[in-house]
Amino acid sequence: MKCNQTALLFLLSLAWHQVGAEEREFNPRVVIPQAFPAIVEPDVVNLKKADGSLVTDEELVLGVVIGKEARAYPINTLTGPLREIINDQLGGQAIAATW
Amino acid sequence: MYAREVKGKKLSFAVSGMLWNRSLVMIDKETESLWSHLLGESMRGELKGTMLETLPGTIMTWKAWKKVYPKTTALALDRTAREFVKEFQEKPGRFVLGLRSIKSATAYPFEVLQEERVVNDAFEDEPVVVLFDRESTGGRAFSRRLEGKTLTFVWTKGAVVDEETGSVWTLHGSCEKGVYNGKRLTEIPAIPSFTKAWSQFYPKSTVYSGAR
Repeated sequence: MKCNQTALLFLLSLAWHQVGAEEREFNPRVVIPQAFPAIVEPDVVNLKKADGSLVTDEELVLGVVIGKEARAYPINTLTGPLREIINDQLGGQAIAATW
Repeated sequence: MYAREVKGKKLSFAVSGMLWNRSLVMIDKETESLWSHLLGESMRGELKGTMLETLPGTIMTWKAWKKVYPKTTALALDRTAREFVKEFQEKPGRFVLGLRSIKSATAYPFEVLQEERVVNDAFEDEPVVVLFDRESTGGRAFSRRLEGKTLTFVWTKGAVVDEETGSVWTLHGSCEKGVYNGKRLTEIPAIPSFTKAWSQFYPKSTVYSGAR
């Protein structure tokens, strides 16, 4: 009996220390019954071309640096289910730009 | 921001059409596994239990980004919204900068970061500094370990300075004056997130409440 209690306490303490999802049930709600297409390696432009037209000074960007390459994803282009994830390639690495 | 190569396979992620706890569920087109967007973990399908590697993605104004990275490229897609102009500055209470591992999570509310700018802390065994640029409303996290030393940073006279050597650092982790001139701190992936989503997905997360 005592042994069981110790085991139970141990298990409870393990569960307590898990911060991830394992303790919770994955019960997603279907909002739209079909997945959206993936955006894969879309066009990019240099700073000069983007500046002022695709993105202005006070707008926010999601930025990432891999190795020596830097890329900005204007937040105002990432809104909506067609745009929330950008599958890209940067500095030799395959990345998913999303926030 | 995630690495999308998993077990040698390059995955293409898309919006699944499902929500979990009001948050995005991603699907990968290759295996059709479902992934929690915020946890970065596959919750259903062939890749269930797999964690994506989080990369340091940082949000700041374009003005600040292009100054720090003049060789940057930018995504060439048209706008789908106009709402996130200085959203972080106007409604800082809605956002946190989060650090997380399999074992634990810490959130730094934007409101506190705006106030303090420089936060010396520890995440698990790693001494970290969170630097927040008020002007560009962007925050980044870096390791405080450098060349065998652990540094402590302070905000003084409009710059970040380490107390150990008096070297001057930018808010982007680069040293521009002093014995560490030219050095960079190692960035730790920090996740800009909605406060509500973070507390829902990391209910046991520590929340940094300020130095005082």
